[in-house]
Amino acid sequence: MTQQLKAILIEPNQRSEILFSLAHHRTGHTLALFATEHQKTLYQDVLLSVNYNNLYFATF
Amino acid sequence: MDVPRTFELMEALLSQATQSQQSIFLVLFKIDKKYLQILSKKVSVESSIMTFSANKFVGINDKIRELVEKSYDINRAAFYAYGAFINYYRANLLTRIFRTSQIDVERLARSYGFTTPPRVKEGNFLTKKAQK
Repeated sequence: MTQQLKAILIEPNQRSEILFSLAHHRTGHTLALFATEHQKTLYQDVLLSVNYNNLYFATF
Repeated sequence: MDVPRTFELMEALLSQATQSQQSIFLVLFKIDKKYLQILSKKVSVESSIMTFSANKFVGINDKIRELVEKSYDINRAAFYAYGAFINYYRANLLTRIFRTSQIDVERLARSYGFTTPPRVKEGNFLTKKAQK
């Protein structure tokens, strides 16, 4: 069975931009973001001032 | 999500997502586009590419830079996150595609709120679990 994958191509300086766009999406779905522990810490600290109920972090 | 280190992990995540009818978004640098071609040969996957033009972003890098300059805690968090990303990228087994020397580190550092890229020691930022 063929699986579906959506690749988002970015420039190196657009990583945070993409994350914030995902944190503010309004599709009604919850997104799980796979990232390292340190990235989770940073983005949670920075995102604390914003409502980001539609995003949660899964670390590896 | 970031690129998993091995194809097996990617395959497992894809099959899990298909079973639970979820979709996976893979965030890739433009220079690593070849990864999709290799992935389609190894795993049965159809990949669609999404690109965003720069004018659609809100300019969050400047806001992060302000926070990094003001707060020591956020500065440290950004430093470790940057280092962890570089090391994770370096640890990918597909060394032909994911070359650390090809990344524009100045632009990457801007994404973490730094104007000059901090120096990263190899392997210091990964957790013990991730290093195995």
